[in-house]
Amino acid sequence: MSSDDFSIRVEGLSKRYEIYARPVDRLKQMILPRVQRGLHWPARAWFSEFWALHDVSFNVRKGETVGIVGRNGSGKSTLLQMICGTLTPTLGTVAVNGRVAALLELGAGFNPEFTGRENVRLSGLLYGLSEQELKARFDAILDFAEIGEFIDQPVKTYSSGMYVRLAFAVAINVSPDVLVLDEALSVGDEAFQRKCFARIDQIRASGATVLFVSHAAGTVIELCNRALLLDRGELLTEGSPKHVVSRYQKLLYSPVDKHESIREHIKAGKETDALEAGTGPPAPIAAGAADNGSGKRWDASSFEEGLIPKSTFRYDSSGASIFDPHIETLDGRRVNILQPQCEYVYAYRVRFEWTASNVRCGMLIRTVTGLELAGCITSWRGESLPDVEAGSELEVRFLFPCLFASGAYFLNAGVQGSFGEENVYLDRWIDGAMFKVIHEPGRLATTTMDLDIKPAIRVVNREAA
Amino acid sequence: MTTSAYSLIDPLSPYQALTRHFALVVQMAKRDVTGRYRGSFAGLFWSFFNPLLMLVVYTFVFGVIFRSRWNEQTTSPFQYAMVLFAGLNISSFFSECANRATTLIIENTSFVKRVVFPLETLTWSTVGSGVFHLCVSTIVLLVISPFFMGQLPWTVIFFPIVVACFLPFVAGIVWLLASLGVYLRDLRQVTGIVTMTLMFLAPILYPRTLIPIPYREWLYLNPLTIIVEASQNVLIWGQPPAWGQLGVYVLASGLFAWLAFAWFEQTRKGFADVV
Ligand SMILES: Nc1ncnc2c1ncn2[C@@H]1O[C@H](COP(=O)(O)OP(=O)(O)OP(=O)(O)O)[C@@H](O)[C@H]1O
Ligand SMILES: [Mg+2]
Repeated sequence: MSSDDFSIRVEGLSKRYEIYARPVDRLKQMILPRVQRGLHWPARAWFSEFWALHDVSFNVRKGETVGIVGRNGSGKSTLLQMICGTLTPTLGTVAVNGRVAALLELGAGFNPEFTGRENVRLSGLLYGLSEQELKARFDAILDFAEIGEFIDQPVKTYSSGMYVRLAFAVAINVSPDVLVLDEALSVGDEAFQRKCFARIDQIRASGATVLFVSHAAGTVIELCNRALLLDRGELLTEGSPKHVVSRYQKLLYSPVDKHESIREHIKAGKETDALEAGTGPPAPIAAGAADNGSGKRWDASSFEEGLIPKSTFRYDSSGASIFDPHIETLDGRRVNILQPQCEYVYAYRVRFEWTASNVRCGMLIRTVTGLELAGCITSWRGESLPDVEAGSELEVRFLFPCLFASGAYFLNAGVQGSFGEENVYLDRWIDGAMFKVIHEPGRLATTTMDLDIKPAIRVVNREAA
Repeated sequence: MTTSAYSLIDPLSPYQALTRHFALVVQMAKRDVTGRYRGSFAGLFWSFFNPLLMLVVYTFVFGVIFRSRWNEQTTSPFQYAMVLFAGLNISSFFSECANRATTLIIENTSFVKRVVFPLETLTWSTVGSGVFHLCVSTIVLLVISPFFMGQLPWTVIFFPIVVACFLPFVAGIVWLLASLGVYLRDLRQVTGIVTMTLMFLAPILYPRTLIPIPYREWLYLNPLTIIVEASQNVLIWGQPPAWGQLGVYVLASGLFAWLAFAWFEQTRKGFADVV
C-alpha cells in the first residue's frame, strides 16, 4: 500500500474513559500526581476508569466503504470519534488522509441556540471552507436538507429528522475525503434515507472513503466493501460484510454463557478469513448449496443456538399445551438459518391434558416489526379433528417455502378446541420460534417477500420503435 | 501529552488563536451581538439605548440628587455622570467578559464533544462582542460630551490604544476562568462578587485623590485602575494617558495572557471528560 493510497490508518488504538465523580477531580488529576511524584509520595488516581477500546488496528484504503458493526456499547462511536478527532486516544495513533466530514450520534456539533443558517455557516467554517465556497454551496445545502423556512429557526426547535437532514446536507456538501456516519440516518424518513444513500453512492464514486456504523445488517451488506466487528472494545474480526455480519448476528443472539466461547471462535477465525477481506464479489454462502433441478435447492442452512426470540409470550393455557416449536428441513434437521427459495417445515407438538373436541392448529409468520406476513390453519371450522383424548399428543407440521428476503422472522403457534359449546384457544404462543433468512448473493428481492420476481431491463431505441 | 495546536513557548501564541481563525471569531462574535437582541422589536438599537439610558440615570441620581462633583472646577451636574460613565464602561466590559467566561465552555458542550472546534477562539469572540458594546457606549459618550463638557478632547484618539493594552489582560482572564469554570462549578458565584469588588475598588465612583494617602497607591493593585484612569484622561480630561504606566501594564497584560492561554491549552484535554 503506497503512502498516499491510505485513507484511514488506525494503529494500536485504545481508549480509556476516565469517570470523575466531580468536575474538580479532573483538575486535581491534572495537577496533583505531578506534585506527588515530585515529592516522592504515592500518586493516587481521582477517577474510575473504563476501557472502551483495546488495541484496535486497521487500515482503510481510499474509496473503500467500510461498515462497523457491534452490540450497543461495544465502542463503535468511541472509535469513530477518535477518527474524527473529537476524542483523544489514550494509546495508539489515528492518521486520516484528507478532510473528514462526520455525522456522529445525536448531532453534528450544531449549537442548539443558533439558527440552522448560522449553524451551516459555522460548520462550513469549521470544515475550512472559505466565505466564497460557503456562499456557493449554501443553496445546495438548503436544497438537499429540504427543511423550508425552519432554516431560520434555532436548531433546538428541530425534530431529530430535520436535524439530521441539515447535518447530512452540510457533511456531503463540503466535499469530504472521508465521510463518517454514526447511525445517523436511521432517524431520517424513508424518502430522505433513500436520497442519502444515493448521495453516498455518488460520493463513493468520486473516490471518497465512507466509514459508517449501522445496526441494519442489510445496509451494511448492501453498501460496504468491508466490515469490522467490534465487541467490548475489541476488534473481533474484519472481512467481507456478509462474513462479518453473520458473525455479529451469531454473537448478538447467543446466550450470555456462550459469549466467551463464540468470541474466541470468531477471533480464531480471523486469520483464515482475512483472505476474504477486500473488494471482490462475495463468496458463495455455503459449500453445501446444491441445485436439485426443480429450482428448489435443498438445505444448506444451519442452526444457531442463540437464535431464540426474546419476545416469546405465552397465553395461559387451558387443557392443552404447545411445546417445542421449531423449524426443520425436509429431511428432519433442525435449522433456523434459512436459504431463500427452499422448503422447510415449521413443527410443534401439542399435549392434551383434557379431552377436547373440534381441535385445529394454526401458525403465523411475522416480521421483526410485528407485521403479519402469512398464516395457516390446519382446517376450517367444522372440519376440525372431532375428538382428541386427554393424554394424547399431536404433532403439527406446516410445510412452507421460504419466500422471504433476508432478515429475521418470528413464528406464532396456536391451538383451538372446545370442551363444550365454545371454541377457544387452548394454548397460544406469540413469537414461539424465530428464523433468519440469509442474504444470498445475486438475489434481487427487496423488502420482505422474495417472490422470485424476474426483472428484465433493456434500452429501447426510440427511432427503431 | 500536550494536545495544543500552538507553540506555547511563543508569547504571541494567544494572538495566533485570533488570526488563524479570524472568520470564525468574527462569525461567533457577530452572532453573540445580534443573538442577544434576537426577537426584540428594536434589535440592535438597544445596544445604543442601554448606555444612553444609564447616562441619564447617572446624571439624575449623582448629578442632580447627590450633587456629586468629581473635582472643584466644575458646577455642571453632568460632569460626574460623564466621568463615572467612562470608568464604568471599562469595568462593565471587564465584568461581562469575566462572568461569561465561567460558563463559556459548559454552555457550548456540543463544541467540546461533537466537532473539532478551536475552543480557544471562544475567548476572542467573547472579547470581541464585549469590545463592540464598549465601542457603542463610548460613541454615546463622545456624541454627548460636546453638549455638556464644552468640547470633545482631541486625546480620544488614544482611546483605542488604551483599550488595546487592556485586551490581553481581559482575554487572559477569559481563558483562565473558562478553563477553571469547567472544573470548579462554584466559580461563577465567586466571579460575580470579585468583579463587583474590583469595580468599587477602582477610581470609578471617586477620584483616586480622595483616598487617604497611606492607601492611595494600593489602588494600583487593581488591574482596572490604570486602564480606568487612562480612559478618563483621554475621554474626559483631554490628557494623554500616563505612557509609562501603560507601557508596564501592556507588558504585564501580555505576560498574563500568555500564561493564561498556556494554562487553557494544557487543561482543555480534560474538558470532554467532565462537561
Ligand atoms: N464519556 C464517557 N465516559 C465514560 N464511559 C463512556 C463514555 N462514552 C462512552 N462510554 C462507554 O464506552 C463504551 C462504548 O461506548 P460507545 O458509545 O462507543 O458504544 P457504541 O458501540 O457506539 O454503542 P451504540 O451501538 O449503543 O451506539 C460504553 O460502555 C459506554 O458506556
Ligand atoms: Mg454509538
